[in-house]
Amino acid sequence: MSSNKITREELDHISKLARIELSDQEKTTFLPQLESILEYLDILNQVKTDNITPTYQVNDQKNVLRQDIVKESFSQKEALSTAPKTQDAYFVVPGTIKK
Amino acid sequence: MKITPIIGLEVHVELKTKSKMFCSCDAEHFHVDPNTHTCPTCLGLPGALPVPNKTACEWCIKLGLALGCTPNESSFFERKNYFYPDLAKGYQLTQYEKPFVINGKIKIGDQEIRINRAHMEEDTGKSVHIIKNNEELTLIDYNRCGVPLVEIVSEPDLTSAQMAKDYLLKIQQIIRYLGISDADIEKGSMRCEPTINLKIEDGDQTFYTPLAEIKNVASLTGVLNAVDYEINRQTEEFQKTKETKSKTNKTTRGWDAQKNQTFLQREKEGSSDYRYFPEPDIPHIEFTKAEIEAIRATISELPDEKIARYKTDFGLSDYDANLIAQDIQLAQVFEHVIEIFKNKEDIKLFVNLFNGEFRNEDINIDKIKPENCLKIVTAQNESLLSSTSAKIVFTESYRTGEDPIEIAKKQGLIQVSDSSQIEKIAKEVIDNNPKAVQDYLKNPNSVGFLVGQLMKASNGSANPQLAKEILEKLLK
Amino acid sequence: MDLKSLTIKQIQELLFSKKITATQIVNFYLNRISEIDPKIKAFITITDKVALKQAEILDAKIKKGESVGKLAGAVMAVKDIFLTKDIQTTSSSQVLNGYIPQYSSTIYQKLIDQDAIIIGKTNTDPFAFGGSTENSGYFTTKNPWNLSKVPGGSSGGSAAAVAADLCQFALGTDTGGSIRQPASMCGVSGLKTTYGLNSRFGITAMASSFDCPGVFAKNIEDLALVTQITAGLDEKDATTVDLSVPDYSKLLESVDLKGLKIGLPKEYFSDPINPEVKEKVMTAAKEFEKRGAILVDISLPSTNLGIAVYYVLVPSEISANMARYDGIRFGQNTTDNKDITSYYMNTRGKYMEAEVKRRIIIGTYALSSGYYDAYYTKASKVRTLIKKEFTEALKNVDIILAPVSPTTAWDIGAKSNDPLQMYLSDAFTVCVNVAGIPSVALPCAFDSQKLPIDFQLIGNFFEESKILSVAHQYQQFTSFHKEEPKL
Ligand SMILES: [Mg+2]
Ligand SMILES: [Zn+2]
Repeated sequence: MSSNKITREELDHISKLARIELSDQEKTTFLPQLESILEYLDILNQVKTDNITPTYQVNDQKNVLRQDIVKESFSQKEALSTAPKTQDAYFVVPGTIKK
Repeated sequence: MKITPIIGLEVHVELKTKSKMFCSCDAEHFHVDPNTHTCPTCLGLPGALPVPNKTACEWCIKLGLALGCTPNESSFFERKNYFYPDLAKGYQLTQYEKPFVINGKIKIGDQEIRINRAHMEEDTGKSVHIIKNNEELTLIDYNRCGVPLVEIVSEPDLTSAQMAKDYLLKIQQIIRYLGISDADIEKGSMRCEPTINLKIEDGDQTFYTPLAEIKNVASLTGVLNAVDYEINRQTEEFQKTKETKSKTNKTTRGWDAQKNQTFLQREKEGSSDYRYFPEPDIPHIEFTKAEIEAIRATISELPDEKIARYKTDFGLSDYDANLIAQDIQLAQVFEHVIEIFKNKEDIKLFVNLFNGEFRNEDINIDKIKPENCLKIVTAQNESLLSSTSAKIVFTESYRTGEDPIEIAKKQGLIQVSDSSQIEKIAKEVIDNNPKAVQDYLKNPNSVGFLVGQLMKASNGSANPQLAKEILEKLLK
Repeated sequence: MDLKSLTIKQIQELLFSKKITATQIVNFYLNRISEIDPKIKAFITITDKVALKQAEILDAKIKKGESVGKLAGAVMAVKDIFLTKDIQTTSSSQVLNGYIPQYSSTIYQKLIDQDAIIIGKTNTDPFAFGGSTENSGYFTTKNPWNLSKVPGGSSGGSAAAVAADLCQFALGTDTGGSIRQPASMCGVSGLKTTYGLNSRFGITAMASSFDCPGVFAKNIEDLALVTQITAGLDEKDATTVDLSVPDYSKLLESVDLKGLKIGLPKEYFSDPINPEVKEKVMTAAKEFEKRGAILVDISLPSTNLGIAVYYVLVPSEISANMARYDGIRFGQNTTDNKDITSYYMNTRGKYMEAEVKRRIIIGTYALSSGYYDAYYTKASKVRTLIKKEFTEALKNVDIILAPVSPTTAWDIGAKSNDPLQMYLSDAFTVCVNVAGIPSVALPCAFDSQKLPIDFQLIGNFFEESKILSVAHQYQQFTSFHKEEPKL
């Protein structure tokens, strides 16, 4: 966290990881914004947290488990009803096999 | 130059719970119409949340305990982030930092293989690839999405393809004993990803070749061949490039079963960054010591224990005991039958029948009749059936359900132990085979030929022991 | 009949004494919406047909003398991130333009089951990412008190709808202040419940360990009535807590103001607070003192870390929660992509609004290899500190009183090019979310521009009945909550 410089290459890498296409215009806008946000986050570095356990959930619930019972699912029609594209009762995407 | 393969295995096992891991959809996905077992949670719809399946968690721990693992005091799920259309939520729920169980080991022969962990996660959907109007499309069925998986990660303690195969068989055997999965590699309910590199010692120098993880190995032979292929490939590669293992040069390779070779799938590990973090939607899970012990108590006899018991209690050979215990269903049939047996000797006789050609039958516990089995063994004891005939009768009576003695009578397999009858035939055999008689008189060890002739003349029904004795008596 | 000032209880009296029908109630609100909402733009979807159908069924039940639900006749507006079966749910993002879900959120369903009537779906920042509704992929909602000002956010549409009397109560969510801050800017009452009291199932997720659904209403009495229905265990949300929900309405008088120790955290009365807001909130505190409460100066020293913790953890969770928006099973998609990777990138790049992208990028960055410990782990540890400071403070005082927002509503557009400035305006609300405790916002003043100001009462885990009781009593000796904007 010491360096807040986020490079254009880094932004490209992150946008690829997040699967979000950014236009050049967006990159130009985002870079200084991200930098000032990251710079602000540096405030956390000043806090001593050596013996502190991290909090991932606030209300200390434990062991919330379901019994292994089958309940009704969507009908095929319901499941597919929101899909932009279907084929033979499947959801459809561009081919995923690499050539 | 000394080359030692270093092999670790990641094994994914699909649990056969009734419902999925994080929702109440039916977990069955074989021969089911596409997208009929789905709900907001397993379709990754907006706003849907996961609630873990208790039975699946318990089975994961049960498997871990059977593999000699220690449970973690507190476990939690994490999100493993990556994009792929069969992964509805865009992240897989898995366990990374705190798996349910860690640090186990199993024995393959004399070798101990350490198990790093067994953790709980969820399966992805299934993809079908088609071409429509010249366009390549992938069709997705989410029925399998969210089915519980346990991932068992070994330490890199395996040193050959054969050992990798043996390890897999052992894991499969244990899982089937626990009854928590079909663990069928061909059907995909057990999947295996070996990671391989080589330790190469050349003089006083030691090198380690880059790691390669192999995907899509869909059979046991595949594992054997893929690992062997990879050992050879890495050996050749090292001789060419001298490249050694680094933090960034692990590759992912696919297995092409048709061409019988691995091929490069993904160049560098650095390109995948899963951004694991604790799943906020599911509270942490802590099983108490008592709960763990209750799970342990549900573990029935494991293969090694069963083999040991067969050897001590029934006096079976190591070979026979292993052959029966190999498959839990077979062992159950065996134990079902011998329940009505009274002594070790009878059991041993039965094992000879059971471990013979009978193994080619489709063996079913509902079909086998223990009283018939006992009748055959008793008939053998009373010399009514020869061991050869007993095998024939056993298979036939299993197939038809008919009384074995009736079958033996019909097929003329009841052994003749009446001395006078055998003596009559023996005399004929002696008369018809003067040359063999001459041979016998010179060399008594050649009696076998005459016994054979006698057996033939009796249509196999004579008691061979008795036949031999009578022949020897007559020729004295 | 002019129904706009009536509370749920008052409207139900008219309904049950057959002085009015449910259909008349619905028509009253539909007329009011068609007259006023074009100026305010609180709604993305007006569910007139559904509402009239619900009213018809309810009227039939009343006519036949059948039993009706506890919220019969109460007209609600629903933030458009709550999934409503067969009714478009956009989350105010183009990603979900035209999305008609095949299932409903738990809370919405619970309210419908009690015969509450849905009048429409309200505008928000996309997926609730923002504090002004300006990030909405559709339009910006206007503040009913001054149409050139923002209504706050993200639940700005719901707050504005209640303030403009376009409904009787509204659903919102509070991840970093998204109920309390717009409540303050629009001068209505709003409750951020304890994390785990209200089910999150069926609400598009922002940050799973922070999100708290809750209610806006004209007064605390109505808040109590509706929260009674929404609260409680949901077997579909593993983070909801199994407790018997107290009878909030009956407990409204339960807390004795005499001797009540009210903590005033000094960090909430200093920079960046506007002096006018500070003065008015202090005046509210003094009102309690007059009635026997004891004001105690306290300190919550980690308050200044709240925004930083929030803007590490929330985007991190967002980056994963937003991964499912890929246009495969639902939502808008793109065609003619050369491969699956460009399909994902183009689809998500095309329809996600700038703030959605920005937060996903920040979160992806914070979780990526090499940065995880410095950001995610570090922020999670500081989260422990902030939570502990609250629970420690609440051992010494009964309740904490603080301003909600450092300022009153700002001009539309004033902060939209500076995301960090926008984030910093949550300074007084985020820590409560970081800790997971409940807080109720309620009106206590107007500034010199006649813009409303709320203060908040913060309690310990599951102390909703306590904070509601104190808030309710405040509304018995003040009338800020009864003021109405001129429209
Ligand atoms: Mg895995
Ligand atoms: Zn499901």
